Amino acid sequence: MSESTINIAEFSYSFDETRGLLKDAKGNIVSTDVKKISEGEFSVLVGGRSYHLFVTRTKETATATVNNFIFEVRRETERDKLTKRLQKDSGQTASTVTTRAPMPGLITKLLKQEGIAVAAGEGILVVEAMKMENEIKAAKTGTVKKIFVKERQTVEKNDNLFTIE
Amino acid sequence: MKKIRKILIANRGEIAVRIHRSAKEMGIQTVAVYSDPDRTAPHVLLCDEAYSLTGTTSAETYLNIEKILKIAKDAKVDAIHPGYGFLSEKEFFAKSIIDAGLIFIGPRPETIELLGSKTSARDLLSKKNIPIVPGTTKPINTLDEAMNVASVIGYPVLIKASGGGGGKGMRRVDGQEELESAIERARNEASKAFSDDRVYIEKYIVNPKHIEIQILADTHGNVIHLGERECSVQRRHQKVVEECPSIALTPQLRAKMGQAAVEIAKAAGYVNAGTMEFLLDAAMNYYFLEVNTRVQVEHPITEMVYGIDIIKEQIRIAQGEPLSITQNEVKINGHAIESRIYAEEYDNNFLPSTGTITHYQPSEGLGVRNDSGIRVGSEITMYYDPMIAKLIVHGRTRNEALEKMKRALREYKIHGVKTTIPFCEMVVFHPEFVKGTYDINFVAKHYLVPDSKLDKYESSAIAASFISEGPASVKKSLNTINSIQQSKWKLRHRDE
Repeated sequence: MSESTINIAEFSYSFDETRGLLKDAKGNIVSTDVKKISEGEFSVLVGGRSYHLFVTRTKETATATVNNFIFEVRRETERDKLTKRLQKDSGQTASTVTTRAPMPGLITKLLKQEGIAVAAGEGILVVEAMKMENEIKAAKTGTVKKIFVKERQTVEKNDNLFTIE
Repeated sequence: MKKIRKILIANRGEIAVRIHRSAKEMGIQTVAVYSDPDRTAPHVLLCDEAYSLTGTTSAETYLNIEKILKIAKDAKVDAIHPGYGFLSEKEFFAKSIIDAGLIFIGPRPETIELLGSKTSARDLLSKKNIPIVPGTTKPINTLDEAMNVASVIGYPVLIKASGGGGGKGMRRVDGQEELESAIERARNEASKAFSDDRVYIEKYIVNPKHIEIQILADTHGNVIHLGERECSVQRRHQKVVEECPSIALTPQLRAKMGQAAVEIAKAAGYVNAGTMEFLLDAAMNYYFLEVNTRVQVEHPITEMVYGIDIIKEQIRIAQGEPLSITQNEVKINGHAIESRIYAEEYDNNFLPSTGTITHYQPSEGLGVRNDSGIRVGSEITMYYDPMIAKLIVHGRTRNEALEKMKRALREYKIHGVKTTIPFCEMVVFHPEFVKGTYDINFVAKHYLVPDSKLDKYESSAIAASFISEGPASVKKSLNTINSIQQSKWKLRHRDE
């Protein structure tokens, strides 16, 4: 059977793909009237309430815009859930935290080097985007284990910047 | 002076579109210039002619005087309008246009130089008895000098760039220990943003309102003011929501500040449109801040309230005509509010949000104006300013304008990047904004981070849309219409 879970913010739905059945977390069937207006644009009526929303889907995830708020949609298959459970059981804990670029930009300055002890909130490097300098800070107290970037290097959003252990 | 028949617009985005519109209404031909990523931008699509600046970065394109002047000559334009930002406040740009025998639509180069450097403007006005914020009237050279000045005027102080605005190169310093690094950071930003790393120090006025006066001055010695705009809603020293008039100003104070602005213009020999910015403290004392020697981003709210097209006035002044109105004819009509729509993460420190605009449907209706520089398919890149549109509303009363803004923000549809729309909604719903008693610390004080809370209906709507796009395992080749009908049928069927 192919059943997947659809997670949006704190809401969770199960979707039975063979039968086309959408249920909420309590197991109630969700009844909606969905009309596609254009690629990625929908009119949805939920119990008479009218929503005009936008969904851009990429494989297992999607970005949805409702009233200019943006929500991530994640789809989890049975296998994903199993993998997650196994990882949890094996007792992996996140002792290292990798910080990624919050926006595309240019690394203008490295404030710390690898091997240096830092406190949470200390600036590690400076990213410049749209002419504004943004100091990227340590997410936790620890040691700078690795810095993935050099000065004058451009980064894309979500590129790895540095790891703190 | 000769009549202008053709204008080159040395800018991009919404302001290029804005200038085009007024020029067309005056029967003037328009010439757009564009960078490589802007080949299909709205200003290129709208203008009569468009020429490539070849390149991507601002330095290669919209800041390249040589390329712009070459196009101006080849296209045989009479005048160049600089818009705001880019080269608009560079006196050498104005000068090179005039030297090429063309009209620069803006103040004289020497006025731009005098007022563009905030320190020389402060110097001039302190001699004219216009109140200025305590601080240096000259750029600071050494750390020792900075420390002395700061301790005399007292912390907190602001480090500001001599050569620019928009919050770039500006740093608040609360104590001596922060001074050195703040100056260094401010210098870096200022040198990148304005190619000028000079900075100066000003006293940080606690909890003021930002009030600015719009002026118009012609070549015949007429100077008038068009009242004020209140721009106290700022984040990172950048304006987000502005209104006209300000609730704080009585007609008497408006006349007084308006007169001060007119005096500043006269003292500087000002010609064309300009804005005098002031800080207004709780005791209704005002301090001169700076002059913006160009059209302001927020000029539309003044246009809506006073019924005057500021761009047209700029063009008329530039071709030597006298102002079309006298001070006595300037009358307030209703209330206007502007929300600036930036491609920024409303929930993450206003970081730039880049991407492609896949859907775009701005609000409409009575008293709603949308000045934008985007369309479906626009790529929002990190190369240019993240402001993509301005939503302006006009009502008979402030309350009507407020309700209109609430409605219009909710109606506005953009998908592809995150925008400041949810933030602007928070602002116009906030009791302090509604009361009008807010000051420039409004955003910081209330920590306005939009709460992106979903209700169960919205989340159901999203989930239903998501699955109707077809699960990832389903081949994209499926006929879209069929798949929608099918899933709808299934959903309804199960409902029975």
